[in-house]
Amino acid sequence: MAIRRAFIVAVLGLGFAALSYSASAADDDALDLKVDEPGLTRAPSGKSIRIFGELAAGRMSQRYGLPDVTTRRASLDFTWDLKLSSQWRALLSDRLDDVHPVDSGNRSTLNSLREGFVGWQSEDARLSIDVGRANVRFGPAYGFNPTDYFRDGASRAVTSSDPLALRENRLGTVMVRGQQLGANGGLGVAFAPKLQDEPSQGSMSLDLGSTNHTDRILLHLSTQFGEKTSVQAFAFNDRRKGTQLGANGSVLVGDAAVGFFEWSGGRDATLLSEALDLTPSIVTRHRAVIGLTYTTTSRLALTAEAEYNGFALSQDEWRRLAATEGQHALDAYLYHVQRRQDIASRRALMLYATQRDAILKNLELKGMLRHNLDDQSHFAWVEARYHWPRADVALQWQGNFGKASSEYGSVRGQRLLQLLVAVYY
Amino acid sequence: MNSPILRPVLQRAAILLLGLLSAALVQSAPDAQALLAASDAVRNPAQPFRVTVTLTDFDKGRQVDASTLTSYARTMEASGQFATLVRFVDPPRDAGKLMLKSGKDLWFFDPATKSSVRISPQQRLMGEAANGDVITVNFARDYKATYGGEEVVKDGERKDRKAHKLLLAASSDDATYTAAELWVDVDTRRPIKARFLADSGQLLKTAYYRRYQPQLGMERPTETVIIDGLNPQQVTIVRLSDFLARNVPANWMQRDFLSRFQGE
Repeated sequence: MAIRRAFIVAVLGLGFAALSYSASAADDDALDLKVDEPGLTRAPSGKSIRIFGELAAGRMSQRYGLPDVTTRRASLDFTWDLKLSSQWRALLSDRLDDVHPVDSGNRSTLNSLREGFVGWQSEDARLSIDVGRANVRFGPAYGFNPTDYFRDGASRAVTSSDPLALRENRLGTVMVRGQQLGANGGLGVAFAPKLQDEPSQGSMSLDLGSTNHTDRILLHLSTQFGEKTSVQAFAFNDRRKGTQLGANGSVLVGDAAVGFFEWSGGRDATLLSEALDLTPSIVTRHRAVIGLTYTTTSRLALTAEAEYNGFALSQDEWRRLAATEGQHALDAYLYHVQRRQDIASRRALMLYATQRDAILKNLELKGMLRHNLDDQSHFAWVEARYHWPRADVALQWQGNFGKASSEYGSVRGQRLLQLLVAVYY
Repeated sequence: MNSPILRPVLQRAAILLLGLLSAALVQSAPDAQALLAASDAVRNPAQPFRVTVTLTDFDKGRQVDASTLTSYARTMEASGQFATLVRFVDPPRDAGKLMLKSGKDLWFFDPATKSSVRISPQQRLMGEAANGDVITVNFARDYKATYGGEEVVKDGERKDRKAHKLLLAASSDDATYTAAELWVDVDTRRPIKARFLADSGQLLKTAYYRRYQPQLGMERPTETVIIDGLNPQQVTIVRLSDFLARNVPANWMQRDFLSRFQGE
């Protein structure tokens, strides 16, 4: 018995010694590694210009007996953030998209002057004022942002189904905005005047009618409650429609989850009355989102969102529209919803997942599912993207699923497979 | 010796001797928390500063990835929290993105989407600057140190060093790791090596602090070698350069400022 115990102890001892040796050897190997100086790493250059180009080509199947089509897109994206002095800055941001095929009424080549403004801030960064076209975005949710009050009409060229990519392409609004920061948050105001009546699809148009079609003013207040909770409150007035109040917040739950919500309620036009160019039907209703992002130790981030839009068609209204006005009216409605970056149904769900370093280092997988809770139709999108230091290659697939008369079941494009190359300068 | 009279006397004397010995030992054991604070001061300058951080990833001895960041850091007077604002410089895809960290108040800002998103500590660890926490973190604020004795350890240059071993246990909600072991040079109070542990005791990371150079008033480590505890073939070398004492206004360290940050 004693000999057996001694043998076990000896084996365990040797095992620990081997483990310890192997750990020490691994440490020695690591300490011998040398950084390839002129290789991958670069010193900060203070560069203020960001440029990237994208080429995409794909194949889309269609409904209603329409043939498959080849899709292609070329995009050039440019941002110049210029520091004029310690207190002054100027920012210019532009994007050129050439898209085929195009939806009716859209030009194939669209230039979007996203931002162009001059800004000043005090030395201690407490006070700031910007004048020009600026992209002002609020809201912690991923798929639908009720408190993002300047989203209306901002998506000039819809080049991706990824909600995060859509935000990159949107137009800013011409405005004067000011912000005062305190120890624990800030107070801001943005005034956007009416500059044009109608949107323009002209290739080189500034499209001020999309972003400045009425006088609007937004007051916003941000505050923190400790390190884990932050809240923003809003008062927004649209001269034609009335006032909305809103709030959003995010909270850290444990070490791996962030919960968030957005709510906005007040006077706005129903989406259908705007989509069909009827006299706007101004009503008092609500929009809301609640969601959670959870990150696993295996680098998988999962977001789930429940969305509500009181200004969208109810299921009964959708059915009546389909029966009386037909597919053309549904198309016009869905196109308007997309331009407003709203959701088309009263109730919807969204799931969004990203997995970094999936199987291979630098391979990123993303997936999204949008589900219409009223008619049970859904949209799925997945992407596999490999990153090099200056380029990405991505394969994307998306599909619309549902009954013929449903939101996603009625969309003309059924499935799309697309290859994309992006180069960064 | 077995006299019933002598026995209690001897027992008392033995207890007294043991007590005196322990008191002497306690007195001679260095103040672990003070050592931890001293080693923090070696890594992190007391004044607000900017530093360039270059992270180079290796897998099986091959360089597979690299990124460059500029980090602006300061201590927040109100909370005593060490706050950092990190601006991504390279690769070009990520240039201009920002990450703000003040304890567990973590925000990620993308200039392309103009959105400031709260992220969880777990989400940050899966991101580009995942190893930044090993570099610019104030251990003394988040961990309770106990003295683990004097040991000779190999430093990052593979030289033997006489070191105080400190056993760190998370004492605040802000601590990233449940526990850690830190070896601090007996003479200089420089951090030499650290091991970061999970709840289970599993080794998560080993860090060697090396290439000490004069920066902002004292010799500081300008390179840290971080070895993954689960897969020792995965190594990150973090290099710090261009230290600069500069004004970092407290207003920079909040979410509402991020869209206005330009860097230099």
